[in-house]
Amino acid sequence: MKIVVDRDRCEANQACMRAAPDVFQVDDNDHLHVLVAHVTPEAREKVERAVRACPKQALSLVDDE
Amino acid sequence: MSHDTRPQVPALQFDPTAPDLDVDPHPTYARIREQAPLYYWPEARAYVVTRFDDVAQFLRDPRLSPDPTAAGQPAIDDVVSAELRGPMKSSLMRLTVKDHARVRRAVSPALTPRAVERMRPNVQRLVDEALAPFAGRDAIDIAELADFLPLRVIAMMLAIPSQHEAAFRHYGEANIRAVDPRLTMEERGVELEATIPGMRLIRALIAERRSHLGDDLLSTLIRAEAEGNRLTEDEMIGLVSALITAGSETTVHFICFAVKSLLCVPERAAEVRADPSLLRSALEEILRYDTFGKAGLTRYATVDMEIGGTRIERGARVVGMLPAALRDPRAFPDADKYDPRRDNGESLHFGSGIHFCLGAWLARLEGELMIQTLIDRYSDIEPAGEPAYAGHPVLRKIVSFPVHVTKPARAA
Repeated sequence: MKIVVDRDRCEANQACMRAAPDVFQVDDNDHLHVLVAHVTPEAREKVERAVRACPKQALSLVDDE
Repeated sequence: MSHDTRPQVPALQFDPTAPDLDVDPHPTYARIREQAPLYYWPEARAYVVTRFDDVAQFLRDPRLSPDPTAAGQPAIDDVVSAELRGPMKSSLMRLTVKDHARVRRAVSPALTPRAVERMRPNVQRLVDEALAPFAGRDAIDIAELADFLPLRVIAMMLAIPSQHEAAFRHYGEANIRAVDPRLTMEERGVELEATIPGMRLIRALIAERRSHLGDDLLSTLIRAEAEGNRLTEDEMIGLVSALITAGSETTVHFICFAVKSLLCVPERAAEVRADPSLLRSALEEILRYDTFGKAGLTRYATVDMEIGGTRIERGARVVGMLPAALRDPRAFPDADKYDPRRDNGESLHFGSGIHFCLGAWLARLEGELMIQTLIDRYSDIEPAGEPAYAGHPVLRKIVSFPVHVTKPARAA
């Protein structure tokens, strides 16, 4: 699985970073960085929580090609 | 065959202006929420969803739009004065998804958690200013205290002179009354006529600011407009209008209920006094546990779709009853219990999805600084009477709430 960010929606609320700080980072310029290319099975639950917590619903999880 | 395709759902009997909706609304919302997932509210000509998951879908589902024209329904613009029409057509609630993202982008960088945190010293200064008239007194009217702050904060951000605040308070109040889902188009039009002086003032302020650009948010918006395709004048006016309206009343009531249901409840106050790091989540829980909103928000079905387990037709109005959802035991364990440590990360009190409250972080900062300052200045705060409510159709609006305050004993 990989994480897709809808940049039209993301407003740097940092909810993802609070839920999964090793996967999501919002920098000093309020830009969101996804730190992993693929979501490991161990990180899956935490990332799903981050996806749900985004108040703008800007994140989604999609299957790898 | 019957041509009446309306699904058989129970009729909602609900009077937002009933006194118990102000004083203790939660038994009413619990009864509505537990008896059925979906209602038809005749006075509002709208379906009503009440349960957490349905209200979450209501907020997030792209097939539900706040724009009636997207659902083939007439919009309010047709019955308002020409000078209100342009900004209303270009407001965040009326733009297409793509334009909506572009216009929000003009203001959202100023309201991120990081940007709002930089405003802390300025907001603290305004909190101190709000409390100054009460210095040396042993009684405070919390409604009067709270009323000062949110509009002053927005005015500071936009660099609007304080002499205009009364006009903008009136403007914001009329816009909020017009949200009442029971109003007909004509009735909403009448409410909105009261916003014309405020709208003229916004236009005048923008015209004046064009030749005196500064580092305030209004100047930032004017620069975005000047850059060509980023913002039209009507979009800018619509944004400023939304900031003033959303900033004028909502946070006032957040502060009132935080004093009433946190600081004036001795065991809750003792907990946040003993552990200041608890204040943020204690206030977040106030927004869930004792929300100031009443019926909720209105959306329109842009296609035939299912909500609350029932098919509804394109063009149907739907109201999401947020206060009922925020106490839904399906989503919150012990939903009727106030828990200052509750994880409200997935709650809906600031909405969810593309229309998520732009001012959420600003409201949180204002609430935190006002409540923390009251805690720091007074060792005890207790009600000196029951709050008086306005019987407002949209908000549990407290018009006066006297409390006794006690200064800490002077340290030896």
